[in-house]
Amino acid sequence: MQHSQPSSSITLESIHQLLVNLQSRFDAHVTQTNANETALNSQVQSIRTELVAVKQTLALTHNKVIELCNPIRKYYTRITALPQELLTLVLSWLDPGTVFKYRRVCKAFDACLMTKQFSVLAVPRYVDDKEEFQDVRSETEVYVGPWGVDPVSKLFIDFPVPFQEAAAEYLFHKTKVLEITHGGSTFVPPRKYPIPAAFGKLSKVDTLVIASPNFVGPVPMEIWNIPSSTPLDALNISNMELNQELPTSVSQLKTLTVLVLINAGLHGRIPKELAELANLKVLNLYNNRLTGCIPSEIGNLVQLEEMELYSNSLDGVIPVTLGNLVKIQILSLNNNQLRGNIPSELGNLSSLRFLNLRENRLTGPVPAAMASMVLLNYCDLSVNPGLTCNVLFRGLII
Amino acid sequence: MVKITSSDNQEFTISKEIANQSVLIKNMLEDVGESDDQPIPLPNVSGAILQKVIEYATMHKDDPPPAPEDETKLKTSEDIEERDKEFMQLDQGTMFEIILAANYLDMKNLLDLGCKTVANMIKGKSVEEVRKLFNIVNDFTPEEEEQIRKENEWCEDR
Repeated sequence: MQHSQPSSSITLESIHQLLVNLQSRFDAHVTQTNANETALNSQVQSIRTELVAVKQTLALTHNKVIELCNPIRKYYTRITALPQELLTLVLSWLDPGTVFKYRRVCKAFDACLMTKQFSVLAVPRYVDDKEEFQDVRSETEVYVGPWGVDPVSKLFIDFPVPFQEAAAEYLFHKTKVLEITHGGSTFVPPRKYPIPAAFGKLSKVDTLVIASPNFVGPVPMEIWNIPSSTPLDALNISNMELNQELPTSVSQLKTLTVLVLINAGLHGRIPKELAELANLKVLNLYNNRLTGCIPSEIGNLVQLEEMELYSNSLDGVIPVTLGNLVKIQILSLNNNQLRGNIPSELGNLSSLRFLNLRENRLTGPVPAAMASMVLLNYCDLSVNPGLTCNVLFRGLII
Repeated sequence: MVKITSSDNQEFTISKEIANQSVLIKNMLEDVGESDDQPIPLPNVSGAILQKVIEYATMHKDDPPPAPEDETKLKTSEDIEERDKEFMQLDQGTMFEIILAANYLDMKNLLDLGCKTVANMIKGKSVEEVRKLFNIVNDFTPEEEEQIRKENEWCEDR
């Protein structure tokens, strides 16, 4: 009989081996679990972060929805949704020399650029940083050279009317005398310019002289309509082709004492409304193409000291009312087609020093009363073939 | 401290020196007096824009008051502080909203900043580029546009 023993005997060593084996497997398992847990944790964390972000987005969207539901607020504010005065403010920061090209952008831009508000802001921006305008701003007497060349003229050419008006108000805010001449230069302007309507905005000016062939007519209505608050004393628009009639609205310039429109291509009649300028001392309309008769109402201008209407095509008789002009010193009606007698009332002109009736169609006797004008020292009645003379006095040319 | 509420009912609490940069709020505070604890409603400004406006006012709370001669001294649109330039790095919609708000709240400096910034965006661009930049529809008839083009001959190419 064979005593059998178990073929694999359980030794301490093998148990130990087994335990070590188990331990290492357990350890590996734990490590794996830990790793899993870390991964899970980080996943949870990232989901949480995402959740926060989503919540934030949701909150913002919610705000946006509330905002959009507000009927006052526009969906998306665009530049053209700005009220006109604010868009005007924006555009007023741009260079006035170039900004007007943006009139073409759209109607809203155009409307802004043509407002007075825009021009009142833009003009100082244009004028203040240019040295050539500083004197003009500070002087009371301003003399401007050839139009189109003189820097001042640039403000009144091309720019839109509201800008020119604001420029006239700003630049000439102190100006009492504004005189625009040819400057005596031989410069020939490449083009002729209209007389700026903006000059109707001159508020302080008492003497306005525009005497240069750089201009063409007509005289803008704004000048005849210069408000009575402007102390306009003397208006002289001469040496250019106005090619217009003298409008009746000239009578609105009630403050005038001097009206000079010579060499100006005026045609048509002398309006009787001219006689409403009761303060007139000087009325010079010579070298034009005026026709018709001298209105008898002119006799109402009893302040007149000088009236020169020579070299026109005036006809009719010399009004007897001219005998009322007791202050007149110089009277020139020569080179017209005046006919009839010389009224004896002219003998009343006790202040008269200079009388020229040469080259008309006057007839009849020279009134004896004329001999009594003690101050008269020049009296040209020549080239009036129908005139007869039985009197003789100082200065008479016949 | 002063409480203000936006059009969408967001409430902001700001210091008096910040609040006073708005002439509108300043006048309101003077009218209601110190005691009133009620928030001032600003129904024309949304919370988002008010936030930006407060940010601007906070940034400028220590500015010295403008010298009186500044009024007459001419400034150009280029005359912008660096921090203000950064502040105005915004989308167009927000920019225009800020201009509207600055006008409503009567904050001259912010209004000028907004206007200058937009002006600088326009500067140097052609008419077509400006239309594109601001997504503006040309609402002129061809005849109307031609008329303006004629009047503008002197400045079109400048």
